[in-house]
Amino acid sequence: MSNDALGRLPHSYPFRFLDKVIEISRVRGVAIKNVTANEEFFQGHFKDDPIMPGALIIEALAQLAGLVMNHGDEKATGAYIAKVKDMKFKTKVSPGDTVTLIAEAQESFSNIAGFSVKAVVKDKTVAEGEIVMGANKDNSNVKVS
Amino acid sequence: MQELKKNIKEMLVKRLKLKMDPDAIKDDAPLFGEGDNGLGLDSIDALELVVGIQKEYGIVISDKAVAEKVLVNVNTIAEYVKTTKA
Repeated sequence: MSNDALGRLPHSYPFRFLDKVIEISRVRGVAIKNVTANEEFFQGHFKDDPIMPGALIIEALAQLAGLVMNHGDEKATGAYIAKVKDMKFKTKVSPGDTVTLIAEAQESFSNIAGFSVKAVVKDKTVAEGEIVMGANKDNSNVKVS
Repeated sequence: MQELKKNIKEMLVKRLKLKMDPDAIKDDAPLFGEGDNGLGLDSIDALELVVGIQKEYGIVISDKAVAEKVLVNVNTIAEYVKTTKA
């Protein structure tokens, strides 16, 4: 199931930030990103102090949210970030960290859906907030939790 | 009805973080689009609006056709809230 889900992700190297999908449904997704020392962005962010950019943590969470949004719909194609709300970055993410990404569908209307998102490293929340995604299709059947 | 409209305007400003006074919103000002006196909202704001109406008045708008008729201006929202809750 998880491999199939990842196979639907339109993003590819060097812009795929999900390594494995653990859980996926129309309302919730959980995925893993293993952050390795040879990630391209560590060359410059920062040279002597490698930290995964917060913007890329948002990207990873949005990639997962997109999978949740289009799950179960074979015809669904893209999903795009429409809005980022109240995103908070609590702890640095460094090489060697395994980040667990969680996206839970909240409200939806038409082709727009809101997600509550969280990134966790070793049971500690490193980032959390809300992301609104827009799809190419009418997504009004996303279940409102 | 005036009280309800005032309440809707306050909800609009709060939920959509509009940089204007609720009293400055005219009852018939178009919510979407950039016309005269329009609020210039977009489809992403529509989600916030639908959620706001649900939280504030307990009314779920999931049908796009209904939304197109209701989310026109403060008057149309007030009318829908009034008739749905009645």
